[in-house]
Amino acid sequence: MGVLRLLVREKVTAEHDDRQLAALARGGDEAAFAALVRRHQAGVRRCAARILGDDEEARDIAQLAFVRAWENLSKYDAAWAFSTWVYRIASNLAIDVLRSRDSRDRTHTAHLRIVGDSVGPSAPQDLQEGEVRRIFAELAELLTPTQRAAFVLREVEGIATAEVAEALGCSEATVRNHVFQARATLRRELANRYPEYLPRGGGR
Amino acid sequence: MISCLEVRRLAPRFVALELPPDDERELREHLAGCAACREAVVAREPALELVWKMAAETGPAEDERFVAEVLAQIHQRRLERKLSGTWSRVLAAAAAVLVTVLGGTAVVRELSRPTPPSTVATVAAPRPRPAAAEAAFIEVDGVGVRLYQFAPVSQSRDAIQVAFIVDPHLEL
Repeated sequence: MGVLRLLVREKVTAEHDDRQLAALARGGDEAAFAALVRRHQAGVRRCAARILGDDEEARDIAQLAFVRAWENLSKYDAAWAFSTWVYRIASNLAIDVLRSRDSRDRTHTAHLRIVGDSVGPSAPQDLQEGEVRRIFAELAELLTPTQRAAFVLREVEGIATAEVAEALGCSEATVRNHVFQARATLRRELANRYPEYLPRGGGR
Repeated sequence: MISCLEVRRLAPRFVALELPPDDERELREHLAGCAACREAVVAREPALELVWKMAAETGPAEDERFVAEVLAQIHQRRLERKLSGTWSRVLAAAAAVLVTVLGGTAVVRELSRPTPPSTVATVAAPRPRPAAAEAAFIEVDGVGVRLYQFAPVSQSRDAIQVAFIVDPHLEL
């Protein structure tokens, strides 16, 4: 009987959308919450990894974000997507981690250029997955934690400006400002450190 | 699906973060499959080169262990909070009991003290004042809460010893 009830519940939660699952979870339905975690864990972990530049740390932050989400479900506003809300929690946790890191270490790392193969890629399309992550992690060290989070959420994750503003607790104009500043820094440092990765036209 | 021509027209507003969310979603979908349009956009903003590459990355695979760990943390924190709340109530109750027991005992001892005789000739030697009792203390461990107070050994007749255990799982 218990097994039957569990199977029925699993089937129901799989058919619900995020807001319905969040409503069930708010009522204490752990299976509904587990379904939400299952759906969004990859995105939240990936986003946290891009902000933090560290997969293991990102995994811990993503788990903590879901735990906080569970504990604060009563505060969840269904006007926003559940994923946006969890991204918000994870981003803010990641920003806190960045702020708490030793700034001397970060500056030191930011000025290192790891020398790869003597024959590097000749065009942007040659950038491999691991390489682009490494370059971004290096250049992103020059951004403030909030610029970094705004850039990742807005540009890489493609989340709307209004939702990023909600996530970071600032205005849309501030989000745009953070993104433009982040772009300028990345553009400049990409040109200085990795000119070979710039587009063939040279850009601006 | 919007055309390449439309993408080129919208590109400046896309780069300026001025596109409405629906238009931007369509444009991003187009860019994901059109290298020529991506190059046109990157020519306007070279920093977006990194963005396309990162967006194309495969994220972590679905991880059932991750889900299980999140649920385990939720259970753990819930238990800790419950125990923490229980302990607070237990300690408050224990402190109240301690005060009551010690206060009551002191009163009883005071009342049971013999009245001094009224004739001077038969006055007995004054009773030695009992040494001060040791301070009460509370011990908390995995079994429960114990409350103790010991009197000096020389005054064992008057010694007070209170010890009780409160079950930490007890719902108050």
